[in-house]
Amino acid sequence: MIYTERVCFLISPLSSFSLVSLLTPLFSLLMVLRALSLYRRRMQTWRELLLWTVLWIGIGFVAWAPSVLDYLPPVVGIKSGVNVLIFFGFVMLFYGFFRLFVKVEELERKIVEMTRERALGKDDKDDKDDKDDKEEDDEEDRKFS
Amino acid sequence: MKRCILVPVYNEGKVFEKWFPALLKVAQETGSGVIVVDDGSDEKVYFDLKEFPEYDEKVFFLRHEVNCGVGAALETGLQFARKRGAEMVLTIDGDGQHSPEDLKLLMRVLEKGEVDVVNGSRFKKNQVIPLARRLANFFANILNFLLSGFWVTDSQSGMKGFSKRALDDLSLQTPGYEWCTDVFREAAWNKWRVEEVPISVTYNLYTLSKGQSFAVGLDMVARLVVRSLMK
Repeated sequence: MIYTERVCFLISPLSSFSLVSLLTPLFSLLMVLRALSLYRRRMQTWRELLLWTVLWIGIGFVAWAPSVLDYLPPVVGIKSGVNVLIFFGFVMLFYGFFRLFVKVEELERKIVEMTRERALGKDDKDDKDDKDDKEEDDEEDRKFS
Repeated sequence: MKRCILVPVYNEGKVFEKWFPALLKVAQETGSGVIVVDDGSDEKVYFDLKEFPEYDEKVFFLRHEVNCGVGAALETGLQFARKRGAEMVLTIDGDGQHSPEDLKLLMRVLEKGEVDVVNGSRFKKNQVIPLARRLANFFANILNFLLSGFWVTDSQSGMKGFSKRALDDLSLQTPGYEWCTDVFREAAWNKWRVEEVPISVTYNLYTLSKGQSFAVGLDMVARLVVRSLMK
């Protein structure tokens, strides 16, 4: 009986199905798979993978079984549907912020690449000009000798 | 040009002119080339090499048209060095806080062939370093450890050395001061051997104003953490 009480928060969503409690864990699962894919492509270290996975599993789990928060101190509890909405609103806002951050980083990276290409390209050009000048000087030397 | 000394500079002005001859002297003694990457300074960085005529073809001045950050400037220099066939690259800050003589120590360690990355540590030597700097570096070391798995005593040191093996694979993805952590992450990923050697540092009002401030540190932490999450 005690056991049933302890795990009842895990099965409660099945009895009271809601779209949020189904879609959010699915979204979290997708994000975890994305993190795994990045790790396999050597674009993430295992620490980053762990952090990302724990974060999204946590979000998915809370969405699946909001009653789990009742076990935490009352200040963290999500007790009404409106609060759940606010909670996920914040999650999406943070996600949006992260996406924007990544976009800005991407733009910054492109500017750096362009600047670098110009810096290195200019040097190649200087080298070529130096070589041409040297060849011209040699040619003139040959003419006068 | 088998050995290369890489110097990123940004608005260093007269200070650069003062300490650069000492670097050229070390380059001369060690037979190294020098690459100066001006990261979009307001006034173009230039040094008259008439006192070092034999170095005219061994000193290269590259210039970023806009300020991209020290990491970006170093990556430009690294790409240039690779193109020129460098087999060992050493980096040194452009504000004159390091002693160019210490580069010889790093070179000696790399020459043994047992190490891929040498990190010059300001904290392995008994010298005067402001407490704020010590604290900031300690927290940076912790963050560096969490993100890379390497515990070093001076993760934010601008004096580092790279062997041919490290040089071939090193690619600095972060444009700012985070480049230091980037190096250790790459080292962890590629299983490079890392060693630290004690180096001298001179702190004065100028070098303190040029270094990483608290705000820069916070920005760096935020960038590293968020970038790690979103990668």
